[in-house]
Amino acid sequence: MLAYLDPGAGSMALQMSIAGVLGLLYLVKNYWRQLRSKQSGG
Amino acid sequence: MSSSTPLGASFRDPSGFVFRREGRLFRQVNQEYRGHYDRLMQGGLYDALLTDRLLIPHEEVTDPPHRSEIAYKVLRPDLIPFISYPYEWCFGQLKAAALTTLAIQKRALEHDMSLKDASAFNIQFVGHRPVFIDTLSFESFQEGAPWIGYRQFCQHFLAPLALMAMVDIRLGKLSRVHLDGVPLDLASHLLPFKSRLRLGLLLHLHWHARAQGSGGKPEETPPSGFVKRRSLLGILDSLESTVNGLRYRSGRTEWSDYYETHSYAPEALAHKSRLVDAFIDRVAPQVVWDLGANTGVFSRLAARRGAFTASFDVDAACVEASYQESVQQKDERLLPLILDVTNPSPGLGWSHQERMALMERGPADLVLALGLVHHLAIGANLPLEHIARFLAAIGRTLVLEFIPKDDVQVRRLLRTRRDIFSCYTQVQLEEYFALYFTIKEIVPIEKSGRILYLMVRREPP
Repeated sequence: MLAYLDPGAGSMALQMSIAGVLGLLYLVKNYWRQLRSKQSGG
Repeated sequence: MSSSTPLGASFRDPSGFVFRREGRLFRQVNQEYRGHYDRLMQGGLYDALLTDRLLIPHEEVTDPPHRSEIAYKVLRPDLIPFISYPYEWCFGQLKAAALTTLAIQKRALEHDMSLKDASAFNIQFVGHRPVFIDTLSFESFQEGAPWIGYRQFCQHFLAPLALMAMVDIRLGKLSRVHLDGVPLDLASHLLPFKSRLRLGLLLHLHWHARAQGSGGKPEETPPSGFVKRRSLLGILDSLESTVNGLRYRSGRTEWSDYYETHSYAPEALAHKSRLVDAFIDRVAPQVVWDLGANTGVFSRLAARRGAFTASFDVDAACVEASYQESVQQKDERLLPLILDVTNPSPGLGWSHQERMALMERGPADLVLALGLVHHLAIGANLPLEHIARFLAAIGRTLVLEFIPKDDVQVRRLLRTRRDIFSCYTQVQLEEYFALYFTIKEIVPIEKSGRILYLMVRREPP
């Protein structure tokens, strides 16, 4: 997909290389949040 | 048919553009954007963004388009009371604009759409409240695609915020030179080593700068790969916590505690407030510009009377304090902005027309120039006539304070320099200002040698 602005080849490449790790961190963070809210709720 | 003119900043995106006809503002949506526009309007995103007051509302109208051969629709967006730019915002405003952009992108993903750019110029402020103004920035989300606006977000928001928070608040001005955001290699070079110890800044600024430097050869195909939606949310979440982690270190500046440290007799301040309030009431302005507003004490008198008030000061700490007060009070009528009156924002970008000069955004119905003229006349050596001409160019009416030479504030300015200002007298001021204004009121402020004027601009014959 091509954009009307140059998204930057380097910027695209960086996103792809950090996406996995940040996605995983996000998953862990959400689990942690859910766990905390369950604990405080119960 | 009456003539219409496209705006100078609205030409990059083939999806459409903004144009003006008979003083009214319209947005043309082009045929090529049809699918994305319909999805925005019918898929629930437009309504969701409006519910959260994140996007400027518009109505579809039947007025003729500016270029009918490529037009799909014509919209009439709500008007923003005063257009401001990122290089005029304080740290808190730029941060709020950044978080708003991320919130909108997250909301867009929920509706299978995505922001195709992340320019700080797409945000405007209605008082304290940031609002996204580019209705055509949304496109249908393609599963697996990275965020197209990532580079722009880092350059327009993250880099200047990090520099302001970790190096010097005045680096916000870099946005005035670099209209497409601060180059990441420059930001990376200027930031201290400790910025590398924060994961978000390490990834999105330092590594990002290096990745841009090795952006591949022109003949190579662009990088391809599949970015999971969860990963995209992870990138947005990381950007959000990085922005949230940046804080403005408030320090005392020359002006931030002006009212506490300067010897204004309480009676004088009270009398001045009453006079200014009465003058505002008499003029009944819709738009007020307060120049040299400090933390906005007098601007708030105008805002309270219902005028949309742009409250300008050169001091970033004052503007920050004023903005935080606006946020606390949820004030949608007061907009504090950073501006040096002796070097106001010029017309910038292509043909000087992408970003308006301050003067193009006026005239205001009323200009407040309180405790200002001595700084211009003596602090910046500006002749009184030049000051009068400038003030007449930006406002229809004027409330002006004259502070005489024997006042402690003026003596302070003259302490270390030769007094070459024999013209700086009440008589001369009235003579020069009478060239451009009709002086309606001259009132001495009690318990001080200061004088307050109400003037009305002479309209050209």
